[in-house]
Amino acid sequence: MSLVLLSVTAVLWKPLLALSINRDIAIAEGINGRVSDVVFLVLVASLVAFGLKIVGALLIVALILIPPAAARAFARTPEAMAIIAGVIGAASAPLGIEASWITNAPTGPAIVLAAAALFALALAYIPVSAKFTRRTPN
Amino acid sequence: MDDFLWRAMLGAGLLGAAAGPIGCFVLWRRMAYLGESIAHLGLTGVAAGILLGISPLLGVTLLAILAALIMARASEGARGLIPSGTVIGIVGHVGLALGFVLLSMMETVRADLLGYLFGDVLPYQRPKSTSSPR
Repeated sequence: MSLVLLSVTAVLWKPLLALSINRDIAIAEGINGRVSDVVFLVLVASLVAFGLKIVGALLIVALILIPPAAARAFARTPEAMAIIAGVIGAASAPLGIEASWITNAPTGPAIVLAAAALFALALAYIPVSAKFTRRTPN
Repeated sequence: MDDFLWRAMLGAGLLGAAAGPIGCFVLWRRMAYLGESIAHLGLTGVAAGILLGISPLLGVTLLAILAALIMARASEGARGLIPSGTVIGIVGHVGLALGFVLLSMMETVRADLLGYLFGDVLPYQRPKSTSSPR
Protein backbone atom coordinates (compact mmCIF):
# COMPACT_ATOMS: atom_id res chain seq x y z
CA MET A 1 0.00 0.00 0.00
CA SER A 2 2.73 2.44 0.98
CA LEU A 3 4.70 1.42 -2.11
CA VAL A 4 1.66 2.15 -4.30
CA LEU A 5 1.32 5.62 -2.76
CA LEU A 6 5.03 6.21 -3.22
CA SER A 7 4.99 5.25 -6.89
CA VAL A 8 1.88 7.35 -7.61
CA THR A 9 3.68 10.31 -6.05
CA ALA A 10 6.74 9.63 -8.21
CA VAL A 11 4.66 9.41 -11.39
CA LEU A 12 2.76 12.61 -10.60
CA TRP A 13 5.85 14.42 -9.35
CA LYS A 14 6.20 16.86 -12.23
CA PRO A 15 2.60 18.20 -12.46
CA LEU A 16 2.21 18.34 -8.67
CA LEU A 17 5.48 20.22 -8.28
CA ALA A 18 4.60 22.65 -11.07
CA LEU A 19 1.21 23.32 -9.46
CA SER A 20 2.79 23.92 -6.06
CA ILE A 21 5.32 26.40 -7.45
CA ASN A 22 3.04 28.48 -9.64
CA ARG A 23 -0.49 27.40 -10.29
CA ASP A 24 -1.23 29.76 -13.18
CA ILE A 25 1.90 28.91 -15.17
CA ALA A 26 1.36 25.18 -14.59
CA ILE A 27 -2.20 25.37 -15.91
CA ALA A 28 -1.04 27.48 -18.85
CA GLU A 29 1.46 24.75 -19.66
CA GLY A 30 -1.41 22.30 -20.04
CA ILE A 31 -1.51 20.64 -16.62
CA ASN A 32 -5.04 19.86 -15.50
CA GLY A 33 -5.09 21.60 -12.13
CA ARG A 34 -8.44 20.27 -10.96
CA VAL A 35 -7.65 16.61 -11.72
CA SER A 36 -4.22 16.91 -10.12
CA ASP A 37 -5.74 18.49 -7.02
CA VAL A 38 -8.24 15.67 -6.64
CA VAL A 39 -5.58 13.00 -7.17
CA PHE A 40 -3.39 14.72 -4.59
CA LEU A 41 -6.23 14.84 -2.05
CA VAL A 42 -6.92 11.15 -2.68
CA LEU A 43 -3.21 10.46 -2.09
CA VAL A 44 -3.30 12.28 1.25
CA ALA A 45 -6.57 10.56 2.17
CA SER A 46 -5.24 7.06 1.45
CA LEU A 47 -2.06 7.83 3.35
CA VAL A 48 -4.14 8.93 6.34
CA ALA A 49 -6.33 5.83 6.10
CA PHE A 50 -3.32 3.55 6.02
CA GLY A 51 -1.49 5.43 8.75
CA LEU A 52 -4.52 5.47 11.04
CA LYS A 53 -3.86 1.91 12.13
CA ILE A 54 -0.15 2.44 12.69
CA VAL A 55 0.22 5.85 14.37
CA GLY A 56 -3.43 6.77 14.90
CA ALA A 57 -5.85 9.47 13.74
CA LEU A 58 -4.41 12.20 15.94
CA LEU A 59 -0.77 11.56 15.12
CA ILE A 60 -0.63 10.59 11.43
CA VAL A 61 -0.48 14.28 10.53
CA ALA A 62 2.72 14.57 12.55
CA LEU A 63 4.27 11.89 10.36
CA ILE A 64 3.17 13.84 7.27
CA LEU A 65 4.52 17.21 8.51
CA ILE A 66 7.63 16.54 10.58
CA PRO A 67 9.84 14.67 8.04
CA PRO A 68 9.49 17.32 5.29
CA ALA A 69 10.03 20.10 7.83
CA ALA A 70 13.19 18.38 9.02
CA ALA A 71 14.31 17.68 5.45
CA ARG A 72 14.06 21.39 4.65
CA ALA A 73 17.20 21.97 6.69
CA PHE A 74 19.30 19.74 4.46
CA ALA A 75 17.69 20.03 1.03
CA ARG A 76 18.57 22.43 -1.77
CA THR A 77 16.20 21.10 -4.42
CA PRO A 78 12.58 19.91 -4.18
CA GLU A 79 13.65 16.42 -5.27
CA ALA A 80 16.27 16.24 -2.53
CA MET A 81 13.74 17.46 0.02
CA ALA A 82 11.25 14.73 -0.93
CA ILE A 83 13.89 11.99 -0.81
CA ILE A 84 15.38 13.18 2.49
CA ALA A 85 11.86 13.50 3.94
CA GLY A 86 11.18 9.92 2.88
CA VAL A 87 14.38 8.73 4.52
CA ILE A 88 13.64 10.63 7.75
CA GLY A 89 10.10 9.27 7.80
CA ALA A 90 11.33 5.75 7.21
CA ALA A 91 14.05 6.09 9.86
CA SER A 92 11.75 7.39 12.57
CA ALA A 93 9.64 4.20 12.43
CA PRO A 94 12.32 1.69 13.55
CA LEU A 95 13.74 4.27 15.98
CA GLY A 96 10.33 4.82 17.56
CA ILE A 97 9.42 1.14 17.65
CA GLU A 98 12.78 0.27 19.19
CA ALA A 99 12.29 2.99 21.81
CA SER A 100 8.77 1.83 22.58
CA TRP A 101 10.04 -1.75 22.86
CA ILE A 102 12.65 -0.70 25.42
CA THR A 103 10.54 1.73 27.44
CA ASN A 104 7.20 -0.07 26.98
CA ALA A 105 5.71 3.17 25.65
CA PRO A 106 2.84 3.20 23.11
CA THR A 107 4.24 2.65 19.63
CA GLY A 108 2.52 5.36 17.57
CA PRO A 109 3.46 8.26 19.85
CA ALA A 110 6.99 6.84 20.16
CA ILE A 111 7.37 6.95 16.36
CA VAL A 112 6.20 10.57 16.31
CA LEU A 113 8.62 11.47 19.12
CA ALA A 114 11.44 9.81 17.17
CA ALA A 115 10.52 11.94 14.14
CA ALA A 116 10.45 15.01 16.38
CA ALA A 117 13.92 14.16 17.70
CA LEU A 118 15.21 13.97 14.11
CA PHE A 119 13.51 17.33 13.48
CA ALA A 120 15.30 18.81 16.50
CA LEU A 121 18.62 17.56 15.10
CA ALA A 122 17.76 19.18 11.77
CA LEU A 123 16.96 22.47 13.52
CA ALA A 124 20.30 22.31 15.30
CA TYR A 125 22.00 21.73 11.95
CA ILE A 126 20.62 24.91 10.34
CA PRO A 127 22.98 27.37 12.09
CA VAL A 128 25.90 24.99 11.49
CA SER A 129 25.24 24.74 7.78
CA ALA A 130 24.66 28.48 7.53
CA LYS A 131 28.14 29.06 8.94
CA PHE A 132 29.65 27.01 6.13
CA THR A 133 27.61 28.19 3.19
CA ARG A 134 26.89 31.85 3.80
CA ARG A 135 29.87 34.11 3.78
CA THR A 136 29.28 37.62 5.07
CA PRO A 137 31.17 40.29 3.13
CA ASN A 138 33.98 41.91 5.09
CA MET B 1 14.15 -9.71 18.58
CA ASP B 2 10.76 -11.07 17.65
CA ASP B 3 9.56 -11.52 14.12
CA PHE B 4 6.49 -9.30 14.51
CA LEU B 5 8.69 -6.41 15.60
CA TRP B 6 10.55 -6.56 12.28
CA ARG B 7 7.26 -6.63 10.40
CA ALA B 8 6.01 -3.64 12.38
CA MET B 9 9.21 -1.75 11.62
CA LEU B 10 8.93 -2.57 7.92
CA GLY B 11 5.27 -1.54 7.75
CA ALA B 12 5.74 1.68 9.69
CA GLY B 13 9.00 2.42 7.88
CA LEU B 14 7.32 2.13 4.49
CA LEU B 15 4.50 4.36 5.74
CA GLY B 16 7.08 6.94 6.80
CA ALA B 17 8.84 6.67 3.46
CA ALA B 18 5.57 7.36 1.64
CA ALA B 19 4.52 10.10 4.07
CA GLY B 20 7.75 12.06 3.52
CA PRO B 21 7.38 12.99 -0.16
CA ILE B 22 3.60 13.44 0.06
CA GLY B 23 4.13 15.60 3.13
CA CYS B 24 6.47 17.81 1.11
CA PHE B 25 3.55 18.81 -1.09
CA VAL B 26 1.38 19.38 1.97
CA LEU B 27 4.07 21.74 3.24
CA TRP B 28 4.64 23.50 -0.08
CA ARG B 29 0.93 24.06 -0.56
CA ARG B 30 0.51 25.12 3.10
CA MET B 31 -2.21 22.54 3.63
CA ALA B 32 -1.18 21.23 7.04
CA TYR B 33 -4.62 21.81 8.47
CA LEU B 34 -6.32 19.92 5.65
CA GLY B 35 -4.37 16.77 6.48
CA GLU B 36 -5.30 17.20 10.12
CA SER B 37 -8.99 17.43 9.24
CA ILE B 38 -8.89 14.40 6.96
CA ALA B 39 -7.23 12.44 9.74
CA HIS B 40 -9.88 13.48 12.26
CA LEU B 41 -12.60 12.44 9.84
CA GLY B 42 -10.87 9.08 9.69
CA LEU B 43 -12.50 8.21 13.02
CA THR B 44 -15.95 8.58 11.47
CA GLY B 45 -14.65 6.37 8.68
CA VAL B 46 -13.73 3.67 11.18
CA ALA B 47 -17.19 3.86 12.76
CA ALA B 48 -18.93 3.84 9.37
CA GLY B 49 -16.81 0.91 8.24
CA ILE B 50 -17.83 -1.12 11.29
CA LEU B 51 -21.47 -0.04 10.98
CA LEU B 52 -21.69 -1.06 7.33
CA GLY B 53 -19.93 -4.31 8.02
CA ILE B 54 -17.00 -3.56 5.75
CA SER B 55 -13.45 -3.37 7.04
CA PRO B 56 -12.63 -0.22 9.04
CA LEU B 57 -9.66 0.44 6.77
CA LEU B 58 -11.88 0.49 3.68
CA GLY B 59 -14.35 2.75 5.51
CA VAL B 60 -11.58 5.18 6.40
CA THR B 61 -10.22 5.24 2.87
CA LEU B 62 -13.63 5.91 1.31
CA LEU B 63 -14.63 8.53 3.88
CA ALA B 64 -11.25 10.27 3.78
CA ILE B 65 -11.48 10.56 0.00
CA LEU B 66 -15.08 11.77 0.28
CA ALA B 67 -14.06 14.28 2.95
CA ALA B 68 -11.19 15.56 0.83
CA LEU B 69 -13.59 16.15 -2.07
CA ILE B 70 -16.19 17.78 0.22
CA MET B 71 -13.61 20.12 1.71
CA ALA B 72 -12.26 21.08 -1.70
CA ARG B 73 -15.85 22.07 -2.62
CA ALA B 74 -16.78 23.56 0.75
CA SER B 75 -14.03 26.17 0.69
CA GLU B 76 -15.24 27.28 -2.74
CA GLY B 77 -18.90 27.09 -1.74
CA ALA B 78 -18.59 29.56 1.15
CA ARG B 79 -17.60 32.20 -1.43
CA GLY B 80 -15.01 33.82 0.76
CA LEU B 81 -17.60 34.61 3.44
CA ILE B 82 -16.11 32.00 5.75
CA PRO B 83 -12.34 31.43 5.50
CA SER B 84 -11.51 28.03 4.01
CA GLY B 85 -9.38 27.21 7.04
CA THR B 86 -12.46 27.59 9.21
CA VAL B 87 -14.55 25.36 6.94
CA ILE B 88 -11.83 22.71 6.95
CA GLY B 89 -11.52 22.93 10.73
CA ILE B 90 -15.26 22.58 11.23
CA VAL B 91 -15.54 19.57 8.91
CA GLY B 92 -12.60 17.82 10.57
CA HIS B 93 -13.76 18.23 14.13
CA VAL B 94 -17.36 17.38 13.29
CA GLY B 95 -15.92 14.17 11.85
CA LEU B 96 -13.99 13.49 15.05
CA ALA B 97 -17.06 14.11 17.22
CA LEU B 98 -19.34 12.09 14.96
CA GLY B 99 -16.88 9.21 14.96
CA PHE B 100 -16.82 9.14 18.77
CA VAL B 101 -20.62 9.27 19.00
CA LEU B 102 -21.10 6.52 16.42
CA LEU B 103 -18.51 4.27 18.05
CA SER B 104 -20.05 4.74 21.50
CA MET B 105 -23.55 3.98 20.15
CA MET B 106 -22.50 0.55 18.93
CA GLU B 107 -22.95 -1.50 22.06
CA THR B 108 -22.19 -4.83 20.43
CA VAL B 109 -18.88 -3.70 19.05
CA ARG B 110 -16.05 -2.94 21.38
CA ALA B 111 -13.74 -0.94 19.20
CA ASP B 112 -10.27 -0.18 20.42
CA LEU B 113 -10.82 3.59 20.51
CA LEU B 114 -7.41 4.44 21.90
CA GLY B 115 -5.86 2.25 19.23
CA TYR B 116 -7.56 4.26 16.49
CA LEU B 117 -6.57 7.57 18.04
CA PHE B 118 -2.96 6.80 18.82
CA GLY B 119 -2.21 3.77 16.66
CA ASP B 120 -1.40 0.23 17.54
CA VAL B 121 1.24 -1.10 15.23
CA LEU B 122 2.25 -4.28 17.03
CA PRO B 123 -1.06 -6.24 17.21
CA TYR B 124 -1.88 -5.01 13.70
CA GLN B 125 1.21 -6.61 12.22
CA ARG B 126 1.12 -9.70 14.40
CA PRO B 127 -0.74 -12.78 13.13
CA LYS B 128 -4.19 -13.04 14.70
CA SER B 129 -3.64 -16.45 16.28
CA THR B 130 -0.87 -15.22 18.55
CA SER B 131 -2.48 -11.95 19.67
CA SER B 132 -3.07 -11.85 23.38
CA PRO B 133 -6.67 -11.71 24.67
CA ARG B 134 -7.77 -8.40 26.03
